[in-house]
Amino acid sequence: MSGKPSEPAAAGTPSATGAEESPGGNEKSTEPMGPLELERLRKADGRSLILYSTTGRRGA
Amino acid sequence: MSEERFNELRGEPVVYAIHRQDRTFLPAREHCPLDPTRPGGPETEIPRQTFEIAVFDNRFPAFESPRGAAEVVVYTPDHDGSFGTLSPGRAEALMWVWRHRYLELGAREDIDYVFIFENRGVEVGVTLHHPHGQIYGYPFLPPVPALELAADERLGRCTPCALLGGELEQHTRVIYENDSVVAYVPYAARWSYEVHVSLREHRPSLSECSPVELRLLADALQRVTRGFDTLWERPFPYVMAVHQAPTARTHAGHGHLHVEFYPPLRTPEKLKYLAGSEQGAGTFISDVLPEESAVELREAIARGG
Repeated sequence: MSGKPSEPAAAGTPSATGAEESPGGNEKSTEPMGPLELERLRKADGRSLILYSTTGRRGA
Repeated sequence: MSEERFNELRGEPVVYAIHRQDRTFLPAREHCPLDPTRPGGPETEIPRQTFEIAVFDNRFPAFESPRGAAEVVVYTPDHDGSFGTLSPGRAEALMWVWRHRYLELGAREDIDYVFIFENRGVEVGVTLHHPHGQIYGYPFLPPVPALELAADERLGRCTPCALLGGELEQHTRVIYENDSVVAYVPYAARWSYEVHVSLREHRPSLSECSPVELRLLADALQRVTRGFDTLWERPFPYVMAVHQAPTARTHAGHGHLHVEFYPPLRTPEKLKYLAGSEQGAGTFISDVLPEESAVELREAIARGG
């Protein structure tokens, strides 16, 4: 492998590069990922917070 | 912002994060910053009444953008419990979270090595009891993964693969195995109850693992940690270190995913201290033979379920 790691296409998930965060906001952006979905938030002091939850979809 | 200096005599970096002196230290249970935020109560690090797994930037980071990262991974909203007592589904989900963090942090130009770890117990310096782990994104390749890469060069092949092959051949130190993952006390363990958990197939990182392998990795890690707790019927302190391929362009893809546990106890009440020989000469003197601790841990895992 050369270069930075990237999401294997076989996993059926979009690229995880780039945080896609909304500065100052609590925008909900769902990215399907294995059995998980996530919600990105921004804390008042600017720190990132990601909440992961299970979708009920399990790996094969 | 931390300051990095290079220790010429040892050939290794040292990081000065003096702001961490003020970090939260063993707060009362009702003031746990990793609990969900209670209705009408002060906001914790997670402003929700419940959640499954949360990851946030460490308030007291050893590394931070634009030179690295430090994140906290909260396994559960439940204050009590441990990695070993998570439901199997939650533990499996945690593997996917680790994988996501590895990919996302590793894609950053300023991060050369993504290190996922858990410190469990006050014996290894835990400052919050709520079940959680941490992730450091190092802006350089740290000494331990560099040593592992050097071992590959020395052997001319993947060292974890070679070691696993030897352990499976002898089978005297294997303590648990499933279809994808093997846990064993290594031949030259430094800690009395050190355990390594390795994928049977060569996988540089979590990103190359199949969904089944991730599930079986979670299973093996939980079996080991429950076995630790069963061994002496007490919460067993440890450092859990997830070793994966560096994400620096120069080394990307070189490595073998495995998880190392360093428990500091050598008896139910006695700690192994890093003293003269370990610190001054770099040579561990161990009080327990790996073959003997493997028997104890194998039996404890069988009892612990």
